[in-house]
Amino acid sequence: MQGKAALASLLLALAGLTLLAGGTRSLQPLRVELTQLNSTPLESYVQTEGQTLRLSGGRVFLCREQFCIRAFASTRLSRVLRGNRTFEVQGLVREYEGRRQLLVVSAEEK
Amino acid sequence: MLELLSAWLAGLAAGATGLAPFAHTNLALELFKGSTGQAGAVFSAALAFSHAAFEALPAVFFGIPALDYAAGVLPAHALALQGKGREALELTLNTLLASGLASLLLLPLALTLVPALYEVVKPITPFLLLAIMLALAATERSWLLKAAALLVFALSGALGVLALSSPFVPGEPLFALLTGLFGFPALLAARGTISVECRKEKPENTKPAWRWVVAGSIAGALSGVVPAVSGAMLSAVLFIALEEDRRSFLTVSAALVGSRLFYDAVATQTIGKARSGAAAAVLESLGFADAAGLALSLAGGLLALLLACEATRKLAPLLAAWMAKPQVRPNATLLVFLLALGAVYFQSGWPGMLVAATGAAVGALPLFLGVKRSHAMGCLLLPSILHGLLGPWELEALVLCC
Repeated sequence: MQGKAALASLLLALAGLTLLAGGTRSLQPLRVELTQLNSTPLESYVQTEGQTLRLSGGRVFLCREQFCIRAFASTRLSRVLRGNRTFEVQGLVREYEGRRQLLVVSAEEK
Repeated sequence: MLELLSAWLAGLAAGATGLAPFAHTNLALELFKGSTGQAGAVFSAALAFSHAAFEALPAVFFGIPALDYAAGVLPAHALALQGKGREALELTLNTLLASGLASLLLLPLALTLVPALYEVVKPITPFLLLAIMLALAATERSWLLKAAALLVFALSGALGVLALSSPFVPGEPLFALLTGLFGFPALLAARGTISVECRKEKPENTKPAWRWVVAGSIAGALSGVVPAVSGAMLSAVLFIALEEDRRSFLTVSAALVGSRLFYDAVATQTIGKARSGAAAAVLESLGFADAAGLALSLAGGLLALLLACEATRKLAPLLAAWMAKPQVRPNATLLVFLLALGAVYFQSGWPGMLVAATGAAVGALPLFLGVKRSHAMGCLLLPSILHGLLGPWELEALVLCC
């Protein structure tokens, strides 16, 4: 075992991993306006003012024009009110199954 | 008929892009795409099959992990560093051809048994992979080395998750990952000197063992027919099992490449799914359930493979002679290093260089700690384990949120 060389390698590896994680975190969040869910206005899904819209059932697709927004089970679109409102959605556009999709990481009312 | 012949010839010629270490099959398909219908399918099959043969040349001599070969290039490059590059190349090419034949013979078995087998294994796959890694760590001699093995697994796994799941690294992150983790440390292990091959005569001992050809072909069928089993992941598992036996691993890996080409094409017509860029091009050209079209495409692909293997055999002595030249030989290590670095930059830019540099640091750890290099296969297995436990989108979200 070559202790010093191993330690130097370990430190370099940790530094590289930190930089990669930092690079991932530095990605700019996307801003999109969510007005429809499966081509239906968002307010149709919300019965009462202040209700939390919880996207459940594994994965929910929010399709709008050429974007397809994909949310995962734990994502909540909080404080969705009646009427078209603008939300700040953090996520990532990816090519998946031939379509541009947005993976929603978090969504908050602007 | 003339249209089919010209499409086949064009595919065979386009496959020669495999000689450039960074030119993936998908890039060649994108560059040379033109024909449609049956001619388009024949072109795509000829390109994919011949590309696999041409790609073996830089993979073996320069140790640059061609994406199709993944970990399979490691023993080949190790042999090349010892001056046995032509032997490794001949073995690879002979295995590719043998796996084409084996895949054809195993087709009825693969279509019936493999999906059933996968249904049994599927729920336990993440736990199975974890057990394999733990069992591998347990083979180290002392508790200190076992802990070192787990450290290498964890670091390479974290790097694999970040590189493969994060959008930070564009292009083909797998290329940068494998070059860093295995290519650069191999050059380091060669201690700055590559034993360049000077022999003129044809190498001996290049006949593949049929049991490994069949094993690789079955693995390729598994990868081609069932979802969520990638060739790179299977190659990683096989590397763990056969790290000490270079020739066997080289044979089984090359057989995996050959049979994946075959079964990826078969899957387009049997289950209507494309598991690779070439298969997607075949599916797009033929549509679904065109058995005659598939048979013609496969025949064209296998014939292209045969001719490409022969052309690669002819090119190998020329490359070996060039590398043995007095002005090239002393700088061979530097040349290989710069070529690999350039290929990484071409594929994934600066983020890819960061992945490769981090990979080199992680990949050098087994050399310094005195443990097996296969622990670094955590780079593929940990993402596969998390993928199986969490699902692809949740894994991506985890990477973005952490």
